[in-house]
Amino acid sequence: MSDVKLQNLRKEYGPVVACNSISTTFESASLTCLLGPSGCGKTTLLRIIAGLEQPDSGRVLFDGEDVTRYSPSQRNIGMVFQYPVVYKGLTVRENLELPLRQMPRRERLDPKAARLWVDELLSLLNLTSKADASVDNLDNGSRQTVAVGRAVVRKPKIVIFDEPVTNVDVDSKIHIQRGIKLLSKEIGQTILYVTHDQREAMTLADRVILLRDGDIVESADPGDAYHDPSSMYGGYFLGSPGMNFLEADCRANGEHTEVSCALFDTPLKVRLDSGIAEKGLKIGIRAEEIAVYPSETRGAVRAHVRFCTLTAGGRWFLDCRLGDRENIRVLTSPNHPVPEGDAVWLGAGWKAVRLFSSDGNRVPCDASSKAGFAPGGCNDAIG
Amino acid sequence: MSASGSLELRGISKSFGQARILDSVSFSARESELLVLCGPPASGKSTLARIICGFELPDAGQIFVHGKDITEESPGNREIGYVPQSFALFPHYSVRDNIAYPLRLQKVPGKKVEEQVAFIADMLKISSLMEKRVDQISGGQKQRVALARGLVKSCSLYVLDDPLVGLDFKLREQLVLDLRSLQKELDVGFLYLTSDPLEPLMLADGVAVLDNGLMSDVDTPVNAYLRPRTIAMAKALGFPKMNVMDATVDGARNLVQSGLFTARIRMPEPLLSQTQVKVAIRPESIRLEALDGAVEVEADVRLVEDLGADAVIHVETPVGLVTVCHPSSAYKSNYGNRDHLRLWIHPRDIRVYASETGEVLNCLIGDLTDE
Repeated sequence: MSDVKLQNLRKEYGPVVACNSISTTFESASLTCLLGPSGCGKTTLLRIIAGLEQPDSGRVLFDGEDVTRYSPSQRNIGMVFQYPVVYKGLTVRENLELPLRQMPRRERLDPKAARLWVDELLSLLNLTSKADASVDNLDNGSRQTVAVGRAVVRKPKIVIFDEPVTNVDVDSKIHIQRGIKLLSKEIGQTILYVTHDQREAMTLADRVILLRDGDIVESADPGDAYHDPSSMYGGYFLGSPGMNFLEADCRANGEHTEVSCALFDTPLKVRLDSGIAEKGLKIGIRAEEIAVYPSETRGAVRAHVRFCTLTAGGRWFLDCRLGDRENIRVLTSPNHPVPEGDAVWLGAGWKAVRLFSSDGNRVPCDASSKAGFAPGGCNDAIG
Repeated sequence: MSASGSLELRGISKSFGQARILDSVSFSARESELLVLCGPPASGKSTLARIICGFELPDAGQIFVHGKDITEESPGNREIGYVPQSFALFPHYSVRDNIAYPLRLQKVPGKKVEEQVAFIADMLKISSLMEKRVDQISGGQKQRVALARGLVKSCSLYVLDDPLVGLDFKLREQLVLDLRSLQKELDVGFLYLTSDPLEPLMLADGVAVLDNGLMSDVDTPVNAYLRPRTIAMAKALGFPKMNVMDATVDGARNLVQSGLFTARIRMPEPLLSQTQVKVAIRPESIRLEALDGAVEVEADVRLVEDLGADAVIHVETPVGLVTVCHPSSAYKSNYGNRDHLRLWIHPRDIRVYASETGEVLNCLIGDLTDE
């Protein structure tokens, strides 16, 4: 297995910059998800890595070897698309064996090793019970699972998945995703997985790369990308609802900066790196980090509930108005009682606070005071 | 039902060949109500939408709008706005001309066309795109244009057939909220059809489910989620989906038994007469910690889905895959594919449904805290 390095990749289509000098490394034996909305450049990047598209400039390296000018077949990659590609008329096992038999003689596994490896792969992909069934008789989900097996059976340098579970049923989706995760963890297969679905990326990835208009805006493990995004866009894109951003007012006070916002009844004392503009800062806070109280509570501020609905996981989603003009979205804990009336009190722990500059980038800060904040009472806010 | 409701269907049936798509569907929606009809794909939602709009004739039944029978009226005379599933925009026309098209077709005077187009474009936040050609805008913008074109005709009732299906996740999230405020602002009736499990909760004043051609009663979304009266409703609402499994009833010992658990539950009269039933449990009601009175079950983790706020834990059990959902902060795992879990299910969280009719058996309507 191999690492894949991208160096200053650039690709334009007329006025559109699909890929704006992208550099990154997909570590060997890791699962990297390329995430972003349609038009963000993820498909272009995938096609360049696969050799289906030539970059205008920049290089693609597999294990240090420059493969930029190699054709797809010279690159030793596997690919899985939205629709299953399988050999019709063959059994599941034969579908996995055939690519092995087609390998150059000197690279070929001996028959016994080949059989063991195919057995292991069938087991990882939950296909053992279907091994001798003809793929013609399988449902779409199982066929796609076979397509995954076909793509990895030769242990290529990298396997590229392009939204592979878009067209399969829910149970197959779970088995396929599990299989892909196991391939990376237990076989050490290097995997690149392309999706627009943030849930899928967070579920599968060792590292999420979020793209926007041809640029990488986040590159981190899913937990960090979610809790600790380096951009407002990352905070917005990951999670449902996206992160709240509230206007922050900053005042220097000795060696501290006091940050006020509509969610806090007392300013937050932070240390800011010098040279950061103090105008137009935003505070980012996750919807589930805000505690909801039905009545006046010390440290919590009153908010007007504009809209209240049940949502994923049986939580209540509250769309609230804070002060005169700011909106804030809140998720209660699961099994929370039905919110009543149009006023609630909201509070948040100081650890949940991130600062962003007016251009949407993260401002490093060190919160040193938690005085005056309501404890995360009735939800799972960070206390 | 009174005939003054904004929309009323009486006994609408439709078959295509041998396949019975709609089986005597009846309901009524009040003025300015946002009624969501949900159901799995191919449950007959689109057929119903086309019948209401007049693109398809029912085999039997009547449709009333404001008390007037419009069953035989042509689509043009129905004064019902229709937003279909697919874009069907003219790619080489400007956004403005696309939106104005239905009005021009009706020979609405030019000035009025301008006013209405500007109004709806403003509502859907696409005013800045008016002069662009449709093939120059993004997918999300196209969907807003398609919505605008469906809604530009001034009607008192609009039928929206799964208008957000297939859109990027983030776009849907915003458009659902926008559609809701739009409907309140316009103060008109929406009949919204969807197979999404969360849209009904976010949007609906009233929600009903279409399943095998049969339609359920209309309920409020909160009631329908917390106390689903039928198994079809239980399955249609909520993400992750409610767990449903077969079970048997032992009336003499007040026991309900599935491959996953045996639980002692209250046995009202209708339950005692049953032997084979279905039981349903919400993913967030399967606990990770022991609870007084709860039964313990064991399971192997297959996949942990990370939603950010929540972790959806798919576990393998004797009855197949079961879904558990909890705040991510409550469940940590290295990569979650090899873990063995102990889980607890409280009898009060188990809902029992008749296998045949799908009706709830163990809970009285409005009875939330029954033991």
